[in-house]
Amino acid sequence: MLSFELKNMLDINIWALLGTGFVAGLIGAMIGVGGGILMVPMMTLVLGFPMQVAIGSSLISIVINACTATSVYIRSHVTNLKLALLLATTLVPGAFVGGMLASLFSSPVLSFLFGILLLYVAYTLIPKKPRKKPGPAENIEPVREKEHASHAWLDGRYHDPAIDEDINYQAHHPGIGMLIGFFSGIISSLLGVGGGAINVPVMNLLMKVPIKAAIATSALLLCITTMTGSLIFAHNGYIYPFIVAPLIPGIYVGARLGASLAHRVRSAVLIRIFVVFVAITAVLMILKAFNMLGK
Amino acid sequence: MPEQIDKFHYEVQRLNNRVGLTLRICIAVSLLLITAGLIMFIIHGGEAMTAMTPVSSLPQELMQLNPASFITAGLLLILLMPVLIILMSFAHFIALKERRAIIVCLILIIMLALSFIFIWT
Repeated sequence: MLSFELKNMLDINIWALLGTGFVAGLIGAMIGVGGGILMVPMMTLVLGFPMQVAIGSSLISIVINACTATSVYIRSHVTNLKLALLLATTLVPGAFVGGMLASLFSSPVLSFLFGILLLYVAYTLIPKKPRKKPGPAENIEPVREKEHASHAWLDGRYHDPAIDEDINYQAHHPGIGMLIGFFSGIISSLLGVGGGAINVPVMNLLMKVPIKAAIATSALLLCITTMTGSLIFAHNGYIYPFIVAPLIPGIYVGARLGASLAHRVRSAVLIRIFVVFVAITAVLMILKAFNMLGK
Repeated sequence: MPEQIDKFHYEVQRLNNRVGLTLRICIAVSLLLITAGLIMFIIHGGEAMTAMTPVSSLPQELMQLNPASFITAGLLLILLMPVLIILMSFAHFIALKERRAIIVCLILIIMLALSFIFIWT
């Protein structure tokens, strides 16, 4: 059981939480990562909240962020609703298991796992040398009528204004996608992150869903997964309304501003700075896990 | 056949538009409720609730302009948004008689219902 008790909101600075949400939303939208990657370390390392409280608060904040993104994507018809619902059938149980595990693990264990996750995120964000040939992301395989007939109902189609073309695609290997989705759900709820870092590559590289559709479908998946995780954390008493309340308007405003600023700032420079920041945060989280940071 | 495909995509777009609109309304209302609760708390002060207001007493607390009840209502609406998406999709797929999509939605609804029952018992 946590030693943390919130007797009075006056002990907690509303403005600090509002700022935390804002910064997480702003940078997250500019870089293209979920707010949880930033929010959880900020809440634990800077504001001193226990990991479980930070994770629970992060999850419920991601719900509104992901729903906002979904409301935009779905109106432009990029989201593959059926694929999202199918993958959610394994992500939801995964999120349930992850939420339960989070209450069993101690704060240091969660800090350590979060540090490892941050190192992975930093690695994936390191700019790679451009490939000479287009990767699987750009290779949209033509629709074959006989092949994949069993999951033809997952077909997707959207209009890409960038190339002014209608894109038709089929989702491959839905079974493997669902299996990986289960583990993605566990990580999402266990560490309070969306899980987009897993869902998008799985859909894009493995299931051959075009990157734009994969990102949009992943946003809808995040809504459902983080909602399930939030329920478990609320049930276990880790969600405090007056901690979550300032975070939500903060992350919402930050994400909207970040999205509008994203194309005005040199993203390559921003990502390099962010990689260094994430790597340092990862080390701090691991040090915190071994109680080497002090108070 | 192309007509059937066009009709199918028209129906998908109709569902997308409905879900998009519903989400936007829910997001606006939940943000409004949470921000109102926070502003009331900052202005009037008082002891912060450590737990959410129970659903049974929520209408009464809202009438009494209790900041915690406004925040709770906003948070509940946020948690209900994904459920709404699934329910709307379910109704839509039933109307279109899309068997596989109906089964998937049904599985999700059962899982989420079990999660809610687990939490409230």
